[in-house]
Amino acid sequence: MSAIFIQVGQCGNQLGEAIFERVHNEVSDISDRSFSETCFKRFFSTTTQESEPIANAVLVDMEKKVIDKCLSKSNRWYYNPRACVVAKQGSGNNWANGYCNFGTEMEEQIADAVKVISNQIANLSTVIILMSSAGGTGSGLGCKITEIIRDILPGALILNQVVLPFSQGEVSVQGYNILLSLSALYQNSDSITLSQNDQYQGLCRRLLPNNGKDCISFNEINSLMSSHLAGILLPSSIIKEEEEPVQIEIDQVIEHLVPHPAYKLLSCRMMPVVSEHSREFTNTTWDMLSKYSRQMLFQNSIKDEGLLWNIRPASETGTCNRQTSINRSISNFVVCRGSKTLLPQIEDRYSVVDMYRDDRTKVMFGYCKHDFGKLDKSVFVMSNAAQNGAFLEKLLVDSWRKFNAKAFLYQYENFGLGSDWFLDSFNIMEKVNLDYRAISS
Amino acid sequence: MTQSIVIQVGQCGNQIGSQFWAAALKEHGNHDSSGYFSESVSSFFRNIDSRFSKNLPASHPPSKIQRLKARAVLIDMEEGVLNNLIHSEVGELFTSAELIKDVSGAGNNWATGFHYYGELYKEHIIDSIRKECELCDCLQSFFVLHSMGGGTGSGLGTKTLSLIAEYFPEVFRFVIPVYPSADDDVITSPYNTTLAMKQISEFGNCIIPVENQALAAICKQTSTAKVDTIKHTVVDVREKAFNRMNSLVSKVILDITASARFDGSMNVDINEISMNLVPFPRANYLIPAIAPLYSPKIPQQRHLDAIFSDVFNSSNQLCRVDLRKGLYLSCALLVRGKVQVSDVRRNIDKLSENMNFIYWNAEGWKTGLCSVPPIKQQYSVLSLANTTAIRYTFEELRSRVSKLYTRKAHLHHYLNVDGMDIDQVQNAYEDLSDQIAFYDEMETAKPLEIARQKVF
Repeated sequence: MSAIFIQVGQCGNQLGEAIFERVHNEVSDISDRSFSETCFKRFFSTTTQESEPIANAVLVDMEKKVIDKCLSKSNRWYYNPRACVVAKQGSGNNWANGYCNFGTEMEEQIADAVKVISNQIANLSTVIILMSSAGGTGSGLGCKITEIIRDILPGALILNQVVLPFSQGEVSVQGYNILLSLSALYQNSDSITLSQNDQYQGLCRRLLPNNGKDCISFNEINSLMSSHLAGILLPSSIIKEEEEPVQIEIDQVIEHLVPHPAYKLLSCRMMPVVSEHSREFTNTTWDMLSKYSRQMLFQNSIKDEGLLWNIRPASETGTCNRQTSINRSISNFVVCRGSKTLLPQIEDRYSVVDMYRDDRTKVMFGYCKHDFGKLDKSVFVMSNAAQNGAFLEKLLVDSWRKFNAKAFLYQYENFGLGSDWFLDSFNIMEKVNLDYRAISS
Repeated sequence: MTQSIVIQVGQCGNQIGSQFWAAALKEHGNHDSSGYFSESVSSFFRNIDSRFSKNLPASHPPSKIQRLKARAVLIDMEEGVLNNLIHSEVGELFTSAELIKDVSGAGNNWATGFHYYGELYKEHIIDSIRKECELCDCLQSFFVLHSMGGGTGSGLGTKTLSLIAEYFPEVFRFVIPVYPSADDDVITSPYNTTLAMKQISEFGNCIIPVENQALAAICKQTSTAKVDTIKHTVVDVREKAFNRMNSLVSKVILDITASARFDGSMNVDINEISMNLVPFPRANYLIPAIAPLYSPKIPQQRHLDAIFSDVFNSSNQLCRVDLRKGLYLSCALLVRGKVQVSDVRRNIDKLSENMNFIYWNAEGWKTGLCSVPPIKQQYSVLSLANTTAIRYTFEELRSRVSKLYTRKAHLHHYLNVDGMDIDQVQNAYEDLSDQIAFYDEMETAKPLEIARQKVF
């Protein structure tokens, strides 16, 4: 089964390009033809046997520069130029402009572009929308596109990959835009993966050689984000004893990770954390990878540094008291990639994850015998856990303050978004915040 | 990509304009010397096939540049400056349809500029601008350049501003007014400035004030000349000084539009500037500052982090305002050159520690990264600060105009013009006070402790 990617806005398009590049690189190195074909089918389609693969992607941006760059890059794979939607003037960082204005104006063109790609695909199961939350196009139009997809592809599951901006201002009105985006997505999407620029910059810094200057570009950040996502989205299988491996589809993953519509926020992490040039020389064990990745989950970190090993589930520490600082999970999807997977060990370690509602097995394991990114062993974890909602408290406090001072509201009103809409959005996100905080207590 | 039209009014506006067009040509030529009419060149220029007088669009693939024309409208009620402009090296960029001129000038009288010439040339101005708009594929903004202290620039310039607000309301209006120095030789410049301010506050989306004093001080700082070029000068040396001052202003326009014209990892479109920096329609003054300071003879190679802290020095501002005295309502950093996002983050974190933002916009930054640096520089930063500290500039203006207004000195010059009455002067004076009160209120505002919504 295949997925369509919809890249919206500058961030979405830059990230999307990084993801397809990563996937193509991973897959073209694999000699196992049937596996590489499965991978390709998930992300690409070809019009004829000989031609270069075309990404299953729709590119949307309200100004042309970034899309032009995507289309003109000569890769071993291409975007379909008929699946592009552009306008002449950007959304001006205004969520209302993206959602109300461009959303209405471009609705037909977007539906047409999606049909161009969906007609190329045999079994469409999932639509993955890549967007930022701070700007105008990614956030506003991205939300409208989510609604449009609901309409024209009712059978598909929707995963929104949302990038949260640096907390210390990239955009002055980012608080409002994030709030409006998340509340709209909560109503229309099935799952929302959050990637924070702050965390990924920290991770990039971790990977710098010691004598390197502190010089991190968006290319590096996007490259890391795309690794995490590719590691989760590339095919993997469930392995049961005495049975043939069963491939896991992306919609299965989403259904597993979001068992209840009140909890839709997801996060990704990966082990080992190692730079590109050091990968060939890295020696790890499955034990170490699963131990570290689990601890990163407990502390809601994507880095393998600064871990406090005393924060562990009650069942391991042997005490009755629950540690309040541990990150409780609702659901997890763990993918192990590499040829010498020791299955029982990893499953055992993950069976002691601190779960909300401990009574059911909420960890799904996927295996793939092929290496990822020149690492002979790697573990990817996508989680629906309490601290995915941790940023909401500050977001709500700051935005509420701004809203009561009526700052910037006239800009949204100019496009028909009044304070009622804001109040509804606050309401929705306060509920989400409350629900996620309830998991921890 | 979008286009912008530059409207230059009066002597000062046109002189800044002439520096700007020369600099814009150089910048585009430096960036892409292949001679093709790309979309980025099209943002300020048109490509004409002169055999058929036809406008050539910026197509895919781009066509060769045949003859460039500026997207501009030039207005002056005196002939001297415009004539010089037409006969200068950038003269070819303008067609006669874009020129609106007269001979006698406005006599440093805002009322003459606004009411007399305003009525006389209203239709002509709207017509010329409309023609220019029709030649645009997607017009996004106007840049209006004029001085505040004189007659044509301040009067007819603000009349033009009110006309484009009425006839082209969807297009952003950036106003770059030049405020006179305290020792300006035009006695009535406080009146002209105050009357003009009412108009620009009302009709401008973003106002980027520059002050002659500040520009002169920057030129002095970066000059290698031994002569004090401002006060004791021969005419042509003084002209050179004004050229350098004007080139600073043209750099601001180039830097604001750089991210829209060229590639970068964090594009800032022109409409994002107003969205992020203007929290209320009344708070539309943005203080510009640049670093490193541009000087053709001394290309400075400052360390990157030093540039970020320089841009918050008062000596780098084009309109001197003591930033420590006020609160920031918002602040933009538009960075050009080979600078990465981590460099920007590091510096913002450092700078924020010493900057006081208003309580409801504690992280009120807008950052832009454009990969194309300005000419002869590796990188540069333009900051646009929306700060309540500008009220001190307005208070100074008010005290200067009070000195005249309380004695009704020189008012008869204004009241003699048809269409002008004392109410307008009173309204303008009150509006200035209102503006000061507004910023005062922002400064002293306390957080409203309204409880958040309860959910179950």
